[in-house]
Amino acid sequence: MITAGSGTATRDHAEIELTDGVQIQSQPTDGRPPVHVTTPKLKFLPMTSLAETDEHVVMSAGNWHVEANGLRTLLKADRMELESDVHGQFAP
Amino acid sequence: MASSLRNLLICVLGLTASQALAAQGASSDCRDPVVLDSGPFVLDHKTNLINVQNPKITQCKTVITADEAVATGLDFDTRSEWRFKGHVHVVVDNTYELTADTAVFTFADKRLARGQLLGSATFVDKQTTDKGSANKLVYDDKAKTLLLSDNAQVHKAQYDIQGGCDLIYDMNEKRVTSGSTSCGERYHFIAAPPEKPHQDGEAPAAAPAK
Repeated sequence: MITAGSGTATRDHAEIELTDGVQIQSQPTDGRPPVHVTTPKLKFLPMTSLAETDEHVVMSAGNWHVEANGLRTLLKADRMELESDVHGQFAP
Repeated sequence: MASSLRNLLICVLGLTASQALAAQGASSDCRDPVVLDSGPFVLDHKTNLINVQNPKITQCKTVITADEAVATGLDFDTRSEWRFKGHVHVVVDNTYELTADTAVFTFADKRLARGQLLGSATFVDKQTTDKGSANKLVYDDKAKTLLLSDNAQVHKAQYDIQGGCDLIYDMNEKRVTSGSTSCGERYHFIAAPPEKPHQDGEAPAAAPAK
């Protein structure tokens, strides 16, 4: 699920530009903790389920808190790539 | 043979009380967070695998770096496994440096529990300059030991020891003992002649055991 404060779409709805507190939340059904991502800006391509940004990204999953620059994720493939400057912390 | 060698080593390898206390005061009760710094990071939820480039994992006074790592999950709470590949370098308690081609570290109860380093594995104790190498080196964080096996050798100022099935280096007591005797391979104990007479009352090293 993706939510944002505002967004614009191209005329053919092939590309949606989301801004203003973008949030991505996975909804696992197998008991794993959901992955929650926030970023100020995100480009989403509905046809391929690709979401990407070059902006600062904050991801949390379970007790993990990870920050990075840049995100690329194929939502349907359940795969998330943080591109650079990854800094994560697991608090016991 | 092995037990007599073990006794000999225990006798010969002196350790000052201050060294032992300093080592035991290390991070055994540390509960600091596990911190990951890295390049590109891929989380695959279908396989529950994480692939990380240029990882640096820090907890308490232990730091692990490598070219690449694959982890079985983000959850250090349960028993998770991290496989490191390429230029694996581990610093333990700011004192020990371990290196290897590859390594598998397991975390249990949110803490680094054990590391198995493979392929040209080495260790150096920066306090004593003790060092060793083997094709396989197992680091036990709880026991604070290094188990060297497969072409194992340890160098101390007073002697070199090599051979046998494996050698166990006690990181708290700075002491090496022989391990398993199951392979039947003999240990070779080579005493280094002192460059000058001992002045601290320490006994000279024993003669080689053949």
